[in-house]
Amino acid sequence: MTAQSRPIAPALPPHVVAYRWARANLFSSPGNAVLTIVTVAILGLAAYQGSRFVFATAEWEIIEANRGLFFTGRFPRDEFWRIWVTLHGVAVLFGLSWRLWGTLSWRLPLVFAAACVPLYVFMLEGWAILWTSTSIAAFAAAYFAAWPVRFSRFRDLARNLTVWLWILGFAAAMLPTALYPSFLPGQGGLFSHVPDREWGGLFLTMVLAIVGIAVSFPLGVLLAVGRASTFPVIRIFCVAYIEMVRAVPLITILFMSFFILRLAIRHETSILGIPITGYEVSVVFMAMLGFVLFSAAYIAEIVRGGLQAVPRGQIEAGQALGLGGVQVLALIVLPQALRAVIPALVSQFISLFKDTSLVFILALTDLLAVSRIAPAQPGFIGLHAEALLFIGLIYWVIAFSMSRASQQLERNLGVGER
Amino acid sequence: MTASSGPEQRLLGAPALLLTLLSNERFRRVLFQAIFALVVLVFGYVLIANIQAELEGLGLEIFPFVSTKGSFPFIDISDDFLGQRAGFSIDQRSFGFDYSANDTYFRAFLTGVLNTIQVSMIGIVIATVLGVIVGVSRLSSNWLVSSVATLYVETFRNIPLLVQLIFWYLAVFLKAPKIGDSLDFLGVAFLSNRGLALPEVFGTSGFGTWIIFVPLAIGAAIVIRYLLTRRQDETGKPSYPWWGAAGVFLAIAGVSFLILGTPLDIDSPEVGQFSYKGGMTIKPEFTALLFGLTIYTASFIAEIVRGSVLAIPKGQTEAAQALGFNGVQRLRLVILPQAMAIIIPPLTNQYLNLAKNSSLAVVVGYKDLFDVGRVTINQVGQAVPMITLIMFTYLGISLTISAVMNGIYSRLKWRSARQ
Repeated sequence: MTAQSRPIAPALPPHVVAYRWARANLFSSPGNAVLTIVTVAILGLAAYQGSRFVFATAEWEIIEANRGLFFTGRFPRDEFWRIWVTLHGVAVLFGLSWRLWGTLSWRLPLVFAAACVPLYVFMLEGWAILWTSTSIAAFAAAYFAAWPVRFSRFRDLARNLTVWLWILGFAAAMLPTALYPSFLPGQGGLFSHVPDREWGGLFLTMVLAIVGIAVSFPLGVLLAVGRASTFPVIRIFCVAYIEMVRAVPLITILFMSFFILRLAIRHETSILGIPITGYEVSVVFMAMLGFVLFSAAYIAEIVRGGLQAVPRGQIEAGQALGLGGVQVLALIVLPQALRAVIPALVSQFISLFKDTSLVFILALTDLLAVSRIAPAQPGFIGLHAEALLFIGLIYWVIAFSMSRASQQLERNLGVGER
Repeated sequence: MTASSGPEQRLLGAPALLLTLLSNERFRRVLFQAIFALVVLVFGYVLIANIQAELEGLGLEIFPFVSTKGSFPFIDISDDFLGQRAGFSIDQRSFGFDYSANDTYFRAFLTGVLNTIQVSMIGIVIATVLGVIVGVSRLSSNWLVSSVATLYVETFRNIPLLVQLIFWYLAVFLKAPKIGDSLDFLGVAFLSNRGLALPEVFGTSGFGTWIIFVPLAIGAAIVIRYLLTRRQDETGKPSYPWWGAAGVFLAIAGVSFLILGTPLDIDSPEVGQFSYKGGMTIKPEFTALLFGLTIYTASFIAEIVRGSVLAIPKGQTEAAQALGFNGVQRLRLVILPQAMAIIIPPLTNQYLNLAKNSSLAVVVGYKDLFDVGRVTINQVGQAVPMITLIMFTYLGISLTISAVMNGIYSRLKWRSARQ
């Protein structure tokens, strides 16, 4: 049967194939046909109006004229190299990680590249084009450099090394801020000091998102473990924290961080001669704190689901091997629990990334705030749609890439397969 | 026994006692928790003491409306800022609540609370309907329909709600034509940058009598549906319980409506020079907020619906097909009732998210409870009590939604367990 039909299939002329496909997928019943026609009409209208706006009415000069503002806010030009160096480091680490853990399907980078075309066309000029291209090249170079390692005996070594590079890289990137901080104004530093009120645009958005994710993740895991623990005091504390935070909107947590916690941190108190509080902290720091406090509760709730999914036998088997409580947790329970909840964790990270836009309400100049500032400039008054569509595209590209990357990671780790 | 206890006896004394205690697991557990509790308490104490100290410097109190002088529950707003004249007007009010700039801050806050409840309730209903439609469309056998639904979900899910809200407000509803050139929807509804004008239904003289017949009609419809369903179950022949119920309802409600001389009247809006005359006008702030919230939340609800439908074994669909059910019947009678049990817990989360996200109304100028609280903080500087009040109000709203949804869930489980 199959042997017969196989040679026939390619012999069909393309219009017959198209007809059959349309018959099966678009016009399989009268109801479906009506649905198709209505959808086509609506889509056509939307496409016409949309493309008329994008190619004719929209004044994209607002984007071109405010390149710097959109990407880095008021970050001093002389210090741009810091951002470029960081970007190259991240590109290399991404390239390595991708090859060592995943397999690259070419679709994701292609979608990413296609979405970045408007960036290249409108946004980049001169050096920025060069540095963007070199960081893409760095990604590719790292990916292909790690190519042979994937299936060699050095794979686990390389993986450990990469994890440490990520951690050290994160620390190194944060070090200038933590040591000579904008948090503690009035101090100079290793480099000239860029106060965080000059951070802005996509850069600030990314910093808030990355710090929020990196710090709230371990905190959330701790909370989840505390909630699952057999110590009633700790359990009650964790449950109360998680449920309270999850019941209120993020914006109230941010306001609390700004108006209440900042007061508490400002006032000097020392216990046993050690000063715990008494620091004048910056607005960006308080925003980070708010995001971490908020996101940790949601991550804890997700990890709790993962912990419940680990069969009891696993814990008993670990105990039978003579492992202690902490070892069972760290070596047996958590790896399985976390692996089971990767999709939910990534969607939490995506929503944290999107939620960074709330700092706009606190008068920080993040990506969203820039899109409010730009249409207030003389010459660009009222061009809200252009600015919002542009930043919407940036948010979309990043969030969509994250969700697709998580799906791929899920497949590569074989979640849900036995 | 004696041989081993001999040396231990000699070790007695404080260090030995400590060692013995530390080797006792129960003691270790108690000690560990005591240390944890101590750290938390010290931390909490420092936090509150510091805030109090800083507020004293500003001449403020942490909780000015808690007074120890009065009686239970020790809350008295009359002599603190909540009892003072607010002085700002709120032009959006819900549920007929009355408020003017001469009222107190507390009454202003209540207005905000009601506005939050209103937009959340309407938003939840619309988002659910839209979400179910999009979710089911994603599973459609029609390639175009499922593609459009996928496009919808992937677009709106991956763009921050705040960006979408500002877009709807500034780039759509405020960019709508001026009132003179209102977009005309069949002469019934109008859209301009003044808002969306819709016909308003109001009761006339006979309304008070007619409104008694409506629950009567609903009750009769329920009884008829029950009887017809039972007959259908007994005889196996279709007796159209839904059609019967609708007919009975229309008969009672419709006939009494006509006898009482049409007790409902419709006030259609007309385009005036500066505002709409008649009808009801929905302000662009509210429309933008509702659009943003429902379209965003629906994209998540759609994914929940799709996931739950896919989780129903394929054999169920095939069995329903074998019984001769058509597409709509399969979905309504076989798939969705089973999917409901999976849908409700994540759906509850989305409802909670929608209610919490309504606090972003602040960017479109809709006076919800957060925005009123923010204005109050700006005016009187009482940030600490105000933020606490706002958080506890949201806590109450969230708990209410959770309780209602849990009630529905357990009823559903009980019903499916009975069958």
